[in-house]
Amino acid sequence: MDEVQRQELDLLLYQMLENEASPEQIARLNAILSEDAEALRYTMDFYLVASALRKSTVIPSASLGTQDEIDEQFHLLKIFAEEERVAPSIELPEEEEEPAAEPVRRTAAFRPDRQKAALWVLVASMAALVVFFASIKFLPEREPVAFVAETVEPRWQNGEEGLKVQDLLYNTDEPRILRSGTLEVEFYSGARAVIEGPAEFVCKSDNMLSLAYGRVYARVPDYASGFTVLANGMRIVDLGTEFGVLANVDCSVELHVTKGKTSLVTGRGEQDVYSVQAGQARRVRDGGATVEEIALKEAGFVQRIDTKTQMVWKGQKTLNLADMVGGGNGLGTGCLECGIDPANARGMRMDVYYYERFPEADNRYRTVDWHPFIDGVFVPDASQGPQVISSRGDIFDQCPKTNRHYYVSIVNGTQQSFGSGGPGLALNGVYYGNAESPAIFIHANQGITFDLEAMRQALKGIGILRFESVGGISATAPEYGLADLYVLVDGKVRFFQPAVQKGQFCRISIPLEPKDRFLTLAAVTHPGKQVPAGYNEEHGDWCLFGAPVLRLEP
Amino acid sequence: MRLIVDKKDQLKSDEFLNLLMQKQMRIYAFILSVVRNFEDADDILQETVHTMWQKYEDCRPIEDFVAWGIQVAYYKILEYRKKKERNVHVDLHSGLFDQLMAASRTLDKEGEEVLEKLKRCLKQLSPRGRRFIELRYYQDLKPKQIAVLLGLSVLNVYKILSRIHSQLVQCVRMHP
Repeated sequence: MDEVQRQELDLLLYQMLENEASPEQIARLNAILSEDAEALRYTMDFYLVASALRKSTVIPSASLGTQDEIDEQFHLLKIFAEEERVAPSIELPEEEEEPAAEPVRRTAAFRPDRQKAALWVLVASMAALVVFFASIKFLPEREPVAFVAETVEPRWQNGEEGLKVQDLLYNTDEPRILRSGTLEVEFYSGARAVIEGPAEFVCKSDNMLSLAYGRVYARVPDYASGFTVLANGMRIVDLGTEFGVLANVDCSVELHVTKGKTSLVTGRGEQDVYSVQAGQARRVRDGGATVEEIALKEAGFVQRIDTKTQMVWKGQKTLNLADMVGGGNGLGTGCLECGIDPANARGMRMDVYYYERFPEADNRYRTVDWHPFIDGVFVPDASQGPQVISSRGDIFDQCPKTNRHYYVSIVNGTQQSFGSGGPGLALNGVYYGNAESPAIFIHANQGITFDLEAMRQALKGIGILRFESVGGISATAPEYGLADLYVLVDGKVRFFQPAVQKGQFCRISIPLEPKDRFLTLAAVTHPGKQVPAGYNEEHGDWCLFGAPVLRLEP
Repeated sequence: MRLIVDKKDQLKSDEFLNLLMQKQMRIYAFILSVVRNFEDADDILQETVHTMWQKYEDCRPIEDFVAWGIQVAYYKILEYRKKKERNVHVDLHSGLFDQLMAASRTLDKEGEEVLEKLKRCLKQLSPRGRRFIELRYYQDLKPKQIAVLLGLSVLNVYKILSRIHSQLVQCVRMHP
């Protein structure tokens, strides 16, 4: 049995002692013990030592602390005991009538040694209240407790280079000052905290963040329950949740709980412990003397960031696909009147191509390498062979033949009608193509494919529930418009509206599954469309997808 | 009302308790080696001791208190498994169980020395390691409670305590 095997054996044995081993771990341990005689001997010694620790008097009594230390310990134990009491999945002894004497009851196992020594028991019950601060004194020496998982435009104090992705954070580090930008820290416990500048913070352990001022949003998986944020003398203890903390320079603290629940500890009195649950928020002022209910700011904290895409998500319920077409990340960073030319996959501005009818293009699928969420664009036409609509090679089997001519390109807009100066796009009395009512203007014979998986990765686990939009031909279009609208997911047609005319519209709502990768929007001139002599076949096919959004998990 | 205890019973009680205090650790170690967790081991030890006390008079003189205790514990484990239908992690009909039984026989011989060695090994632990042991075994706090108190993750507490146990086991093994 080498060192690595022994370490594995140690952890397996100990997790089993605490009844926390999985069936796979149990099977693994049985396999090790059956095959390795030395491991079996070691295991027997392990159990003998564990038995001695549990059933003998070898452990000396703990040292006593100050009254303050006792108070602090008492309240933390109370919080935890209360949470355990109401949490059926975690087994804890029942609470005693007098928790101050023994907040966590001992097991009922027969212990003649303890029974014999009344003084010993007395000291033990007192010591249960005081170990916390004694424990703090033996917190680890300098060791890494977290690392930088993501950053978006961080600026550090005095122009320092500061932290970069993958940099380690140590429990003994001096407080760091983030002037602006955002930083996501992953603690070794598995808890994650997004810190918004300006902020001053330090990671005190693998499950504890201290915040002098600034905003932090914590996401804590069940197995890291107990993650704690210290802020201006307040302590927020996670009980399996997501929450935001705002520590102001005037020493007030706000706690906003979006999921699960927390305990807010404002002082050392029994009345200073507050349970704050999902949908609730509290502001603490005057050093804990004033605690008031406030409205939850659901979008008040940056909850997810992504270095690669520079995505900064503050809990928005939708991603705007028109914004992406305009070069943005779906959260309003794109530009109006900007778009993508399907003939070359380049970005374009509306004013450059105004009025222009594009020459015939081939139907090749062109990837959009410069945008993380847009997979590619195409000019649909089945007469040139199978119509590829994704970088993976998905085929649009139902794609009709077209003349491969279009106007303007695929645009986040447009606000003005071509030439007239009036509103550019309208459906059902709503003017589209502006910031309030965004739209993808997609004149017939163009298609665009979005990469849903890339968005999920940037959102760090937030699911995409459905695609929603209003599709049609703008009421501001010239006469003779007649087009077909398609929405496809992974090459499969999920929405099809043939022969749409000027001013006609339809609502689109397509549920999406986690496995769905590519979402394609396409508009084509209706096959067999007739136009008067002198008009191009695609004349008047001013198609749009109004308010095109991906609805996110709440 | 005064409880009048027969002197003979008193002597029997003292004798049993003295033996139990000296030997229960080894019986517990056997139970632990089969059920592998404290929670179930505590329950089974309690039932085992209860039965041992009931039968103590009939079985006296007892040559090997630990062997007898292990025998009683074995049946208690069988009953417990039937009752709970869980948590006996070793198949009692497997070769592994036979090996455990054989290994447990050495516990009595080694057990007397282990306590003395362990006392010395505990003193050799770092203050931090010793405090963790105190929290877990003397204060009887579960790892999740320790994690909350110290602002550590539960997994980290498991790792720390498993390392400390390992240090103690190796120290006990190496100690002269």
